[in-house]
Amino acid sequence: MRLKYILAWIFVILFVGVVAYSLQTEVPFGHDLTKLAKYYVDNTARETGIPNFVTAIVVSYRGFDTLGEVTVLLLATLGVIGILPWEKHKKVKKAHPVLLWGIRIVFPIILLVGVYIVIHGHLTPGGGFQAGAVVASAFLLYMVSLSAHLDLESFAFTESIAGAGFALIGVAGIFAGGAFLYNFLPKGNLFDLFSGGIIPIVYILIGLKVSSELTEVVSHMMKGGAEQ
Amino acid sequence: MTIVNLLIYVLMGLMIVMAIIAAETKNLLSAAIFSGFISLVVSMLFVYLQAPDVAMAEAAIGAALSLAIILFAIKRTGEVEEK
Amino acid sequence: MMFYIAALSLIGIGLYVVLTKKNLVKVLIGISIADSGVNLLLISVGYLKNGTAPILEKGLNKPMVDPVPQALVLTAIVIGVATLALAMSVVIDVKRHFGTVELDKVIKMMRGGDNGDA
Repeated sequence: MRLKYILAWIFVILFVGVVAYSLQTEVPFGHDLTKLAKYYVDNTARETGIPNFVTAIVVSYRGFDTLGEVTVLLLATLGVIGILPWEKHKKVKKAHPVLLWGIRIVFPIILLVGVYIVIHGHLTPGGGFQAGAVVASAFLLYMVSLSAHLDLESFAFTESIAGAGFALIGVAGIFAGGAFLYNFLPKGNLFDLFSGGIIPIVYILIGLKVSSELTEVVSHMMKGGAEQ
Repeated sequence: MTIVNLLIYVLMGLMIVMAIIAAETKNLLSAAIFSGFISLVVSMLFVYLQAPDVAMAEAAIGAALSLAIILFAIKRTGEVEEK
Repeated sequence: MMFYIAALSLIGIGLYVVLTKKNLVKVLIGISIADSGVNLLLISVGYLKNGTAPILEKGLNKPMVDPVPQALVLTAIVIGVATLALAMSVVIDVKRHFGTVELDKVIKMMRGGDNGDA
C-alpha cells in the first residue's frame, strides 16, 4: 500500500523535473517572440482592423477552430442534458432574505457587465467567452437564491439561433470572398465601436451561445436527474 | 526584488500549499473550495503575465461555474472520502 | 522560471491525485487542478519581459507578449468547464447505479456481476 504512494511521488517528481528542465533549455521564460507571434503582432491591426489581438486570432484567424470548439461545447451540453434530464416538479427551499434581496440588486448589474464585456470585446479585454461565463454565473446566482425555474426552452432556442448564425456568417463569407468566415463587411476606423466588420457580430453570437449553454449545464447539474 | 515580485512569489507559494491541502484532505467540500481558490490565484498570476482576457475567463469560470458544478456533484454523491 | 515551476507543481499535484485517490469526485478535482496548471504553463511560455498585453493602445508603442497561447487558453478554459460538467454527470450516474463513487467498490461490484441496480 505504501509502495503505491512512493511510486506515484517518484513518477510525479521525475515528470516535473524533466519537463521543467527541457522547457527552460528550449523556451526559457521571457524569451523573444516566435516568427508566428511576430507576424500577428505586426500585421493584425492592419489586416483585421481591431486593436485586441486575442479577439482577432480567436474569431478571425482561427475562426474555423472556434466553430469546432463551440461544437465541442454543444456536445458536452447535450451529454449533460441526456444523462441528467430535467425534472419539472421538485420541491424548492426558500433562500435566506439577505440572499433574496441581494440578488435583486446584483443580478441586473452582473448582466450589464456581461453585455458591456461582449460589446467591447474587440476593443478592450473581454469578449464572447468571458461574457458567456459572467452571464451564466448571474443566472446561477438567480437559480440558487430565488429557487425559480428558468425557462430552459428559450435558452435552447437562443443557443441554436446563435450557433446557426455563426455558421451562416461563415458560409456567407464563402460566397462574398471565397473563404469561410471571410470578412465581407467594411472594416471602419481602428478604435471605433463599429469597426472590424463581422468580428463583433460573430463574437456577440458566440457570447449568446456560450452563456445559454453554460446556464443549461449548471441548471441541469443543479436540478436535473431523479433523486436516489 | 520589487514588492510586486515578492507578492507574486507569496501567491505562488500559497497556491502550491492550497493544492497540497486539496489533495490530502478527506473532506471533499474543502477540497472543492481550495480548488476554487487555486483558480482565483491563477487568474491573478495571469494579470501579472499580461493576459487580461484569459484572467477574466478564468476568474469567472474557475471561481464560480466550475466550483458550482463540483459542489452540486458533491451534494449528490456524499462529501466524505472513504479511507 | 518560477512560473514554470509553479505551473508544473500544480500539474504534478493533480497527477498525484489522479494516480493515488479512489474517490471519483476527488479524481475530477485533481484533474481540474491540473487543468489550471496547464493553462498557467501555456500562458507563461508566451510571456515576454517588459511586454504589454496584446491590445493596441493609442500612442503606446511597446513590445507585446505572444497573443497565440492566450487565444488557445481562452477557449481551453471554457471547454474545460463543459467537459468537467459532463464527467461530473457521469459520476452522478455511477452513484445512482452502484450507490457509491469509490472506484475499488465499483470495480468489485462489476466483477461480481451484481450491478446493484434496484
